[in-house]
Amino acid sequence: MTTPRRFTLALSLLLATASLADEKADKATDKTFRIKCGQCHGKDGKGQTKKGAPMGMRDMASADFQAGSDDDWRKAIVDGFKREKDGKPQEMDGFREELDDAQVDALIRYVRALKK
Amino acid sequence: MAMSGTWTALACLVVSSAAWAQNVADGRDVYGPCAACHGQHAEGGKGGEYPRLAGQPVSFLLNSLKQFQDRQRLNLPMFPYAEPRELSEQDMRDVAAFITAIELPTKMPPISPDAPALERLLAAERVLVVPKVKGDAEKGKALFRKNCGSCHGRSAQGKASRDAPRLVGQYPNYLERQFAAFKKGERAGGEDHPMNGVLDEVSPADFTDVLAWLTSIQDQAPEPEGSTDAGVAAPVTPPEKKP
Repeated sequence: MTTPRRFTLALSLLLATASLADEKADKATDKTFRIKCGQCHGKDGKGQTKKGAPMGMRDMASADFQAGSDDDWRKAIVDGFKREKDGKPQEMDGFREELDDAQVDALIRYVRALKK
Repeated sequence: MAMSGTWTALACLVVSSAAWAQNVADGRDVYGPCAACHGQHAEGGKGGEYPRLAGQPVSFLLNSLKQFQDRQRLNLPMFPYAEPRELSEQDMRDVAAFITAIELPTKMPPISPDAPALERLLAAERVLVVPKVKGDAEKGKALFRKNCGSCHGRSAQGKASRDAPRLVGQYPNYLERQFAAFKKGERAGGEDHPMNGVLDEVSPADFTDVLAWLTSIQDQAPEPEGSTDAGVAAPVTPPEKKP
């Protein structure tokens, strides 16, 4: 096998492995989102769930929701909150003990990707 | 407030309080047939063959009864009792209100040695201590906090806001059976069930460690939600940012 061919093969293998790893990570984040966030936000992130609707939960894909910064979202995910918005009580549990930094970052990227 | 308004408000308060009290009283009657298996104080029966119900969140009890009634959760002993003609929607609400209010101590309450034997016996009947499980409780605690805490509460007391049951004080053999049923997809589930996928990475050995922790804390006061192992209360009320 010539050197350029070997190089192409190695590069292809590397890219395929990276792509496989990405796919695995995406699946893991998708599952994390469904388990940790989906119950209230809905697995589509629209917030129209038994828990989300009475809180007036916003669609995660909306411009309004997406206007939040990564830091705002990180704080909400890690610490949770209890507040009132538009006359409706809103509450979110913090996931400090359940999600590590990498998972939180992956969730933020996941929710950013929902942007319309 | 005008006088008539005050009277109306007072009347509403009295009526709603009476309605609530009536519900719990009715719930006691509805609970009658349940006691044969779940025990007089909803403490469970036959050493965990039938689960403890006392103190479970209303939302969880209601959901469970509806799942039995709708055959989403299949359980032969519950089959005849959950039939709509046996258990109306109001009955479910009443019995859930009754059961959730039952508190079971883990220690014998102080009682005078001169108290009648019956009084001591009745007090002792309510004390529920489930068998301890051997395992790595510290590892179990970490596993629980990572996988279960946000729904079941960090001290496993259950969370009404998540319709999630209390696990501490529940019979470990019952929990083991539910663990196996969830793992095999036999318990009410479906893609949207909150337990769907949660236990995928939890092995039976891991679960034994979780049980070791759960049974080691049954006589301890629950830790407040929002606290952490470092003992620092996590902030939970950030102000809403104006765009």
